Amino acid sequence: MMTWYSYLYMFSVWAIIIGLNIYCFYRVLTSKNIITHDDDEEEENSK
Amino acid sequence: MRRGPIKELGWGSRFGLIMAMAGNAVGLGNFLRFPGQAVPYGGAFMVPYFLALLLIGIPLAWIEWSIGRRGGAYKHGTTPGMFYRLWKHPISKYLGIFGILLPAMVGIYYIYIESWALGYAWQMATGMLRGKHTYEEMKVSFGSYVGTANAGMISFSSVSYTFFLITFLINIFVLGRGIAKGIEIVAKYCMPVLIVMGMILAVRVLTLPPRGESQTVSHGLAQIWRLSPQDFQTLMRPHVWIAATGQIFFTLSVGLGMVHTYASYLKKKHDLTLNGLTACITNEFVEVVLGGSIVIPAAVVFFGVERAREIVDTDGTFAIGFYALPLIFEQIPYGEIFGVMWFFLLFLAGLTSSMAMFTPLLVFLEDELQIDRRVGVLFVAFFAFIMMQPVILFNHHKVLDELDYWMGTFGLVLFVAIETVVFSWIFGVDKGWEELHLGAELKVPRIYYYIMKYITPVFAVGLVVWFCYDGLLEKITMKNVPMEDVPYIWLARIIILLTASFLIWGVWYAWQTHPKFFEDDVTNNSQNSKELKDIEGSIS
Repeated sequence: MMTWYSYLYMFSVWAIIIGLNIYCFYRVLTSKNIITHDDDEEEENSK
Repeated sequence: MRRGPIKELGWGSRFGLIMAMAGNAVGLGNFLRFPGQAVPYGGAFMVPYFLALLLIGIPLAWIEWSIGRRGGAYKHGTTPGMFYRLWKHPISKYLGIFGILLPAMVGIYYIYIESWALGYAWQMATGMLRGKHTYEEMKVSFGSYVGTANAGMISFSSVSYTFFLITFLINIFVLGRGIAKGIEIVAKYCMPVLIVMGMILAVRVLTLPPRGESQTVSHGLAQIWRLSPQDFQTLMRPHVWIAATGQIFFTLSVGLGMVHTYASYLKKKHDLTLNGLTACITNEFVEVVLGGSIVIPAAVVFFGVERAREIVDTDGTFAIGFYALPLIFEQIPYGEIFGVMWFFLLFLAGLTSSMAMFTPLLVFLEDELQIDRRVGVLFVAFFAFIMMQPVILFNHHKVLDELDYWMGTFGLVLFVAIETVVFSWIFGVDKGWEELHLGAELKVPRIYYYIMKYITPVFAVGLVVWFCYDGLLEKITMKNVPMEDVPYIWLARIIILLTASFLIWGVWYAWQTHPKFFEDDVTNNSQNSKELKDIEGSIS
């Protein structure tokens, strides 16, 4: 049976993981530094 | 050397890259292995688990991303070339063979296991599992499905073999389509679907009504999250630390060479730190939040604490996933839908991992042996298909278990030790730190410099020593192996040795036939800029 402090433990771990996920994906999705092949194609075309 | 259209060779988007890396990490083990490791120790298991994640797992992922991107700059997509660029010693390229051997060998049994999930999804959808009311009946049914129940000379079942062929062809098709058009597209769509299905299943399990005084979801969650002094006393024993670290290795798919190959398609300006952390933390969400909320709570609600723990102890959590959950889903409203969802989720988790497993071998053929891509795909398909047959046909003689120990367990730990020592001590953590931060969008705390320099390699080497001490000799000498299984154990070892010999020859041949390619210090990026300067010069 889960005690209140077991629930607190579980939800704390979940909160840290979910919070980190939100933080990381927010940083990734709002970043201007995207991976694209346009620069590669420019390099290819310039050769 | 990398040829062909660039769009087929590299990543098409950053989200696709992260989903592919996370998909590579998310596998059957997130839902089936993790709960089984946690149950014996309860909430205490999470302490070494998260320490291992912070001190070993995440630094190791960053190390592999760095090795991979650096190797890719020299047009190496696999670890023999990558290691040689880190350490110009004749032995380094041969040590890198592990990064091709391990994923290929794991792939030959992983795809077979993955096909069981697809087969069971089909059986749930068509009602073929109806009419079985006990755990024992489901166990017998599974034995019939994989052909081990009535196996004589060989274990064969036409149904499971059909689903194996379908799964195998899907994997080869994705592999043949390349990174951007194959692996990335599958990961980009399958990973969100997998996460949504996992969330639906977790909510369904966590809202199951109690079936007795000790048959509640709360009792189920307590198996993983209980906080008792007795459990925390187990932290004094090395086994719990080994189990937690092993789980981190398996779950992040580090030490297998696949992360290196995926990262080799990145350029110097592309971030490693934030991308690597995002992939790791996505995997943790799937494992700890979703994986910890489905199998064990459902089993406890339907079987009770004692019986659920007995099943975990005797048959493992794999048994709960394949024997018990179909029974459980039969007994709840719309259970067949949830049953199909469960096995399809396992199939997607397997697919996003297995499609990466033959990528290093294919890339090795292309990059180092300079074989045409189509020929390479055919070679890999032929090789994998032939090697998979003993695993399927002699499954009842533990061929799969033997491969799993040497390649998926001991080999993985050994390769982690090798790569951390090569990166942190031979190449040097100063240069490694610099490499990691090129194009970085996330500044890694300075403490990780020391973690990468001391803790990660020492721990990795310590783990190899522990494995050598803990039963390696018994494994080599086949102690406790029944006499009838001995020839098949040897067969598994011959498969490993033959594949390793081919790779050793491949590396030797590559260095003999085009040595300049491996000695040239001009990177892909600097080559491009040099050519651009030449063009500018000729124009002026």
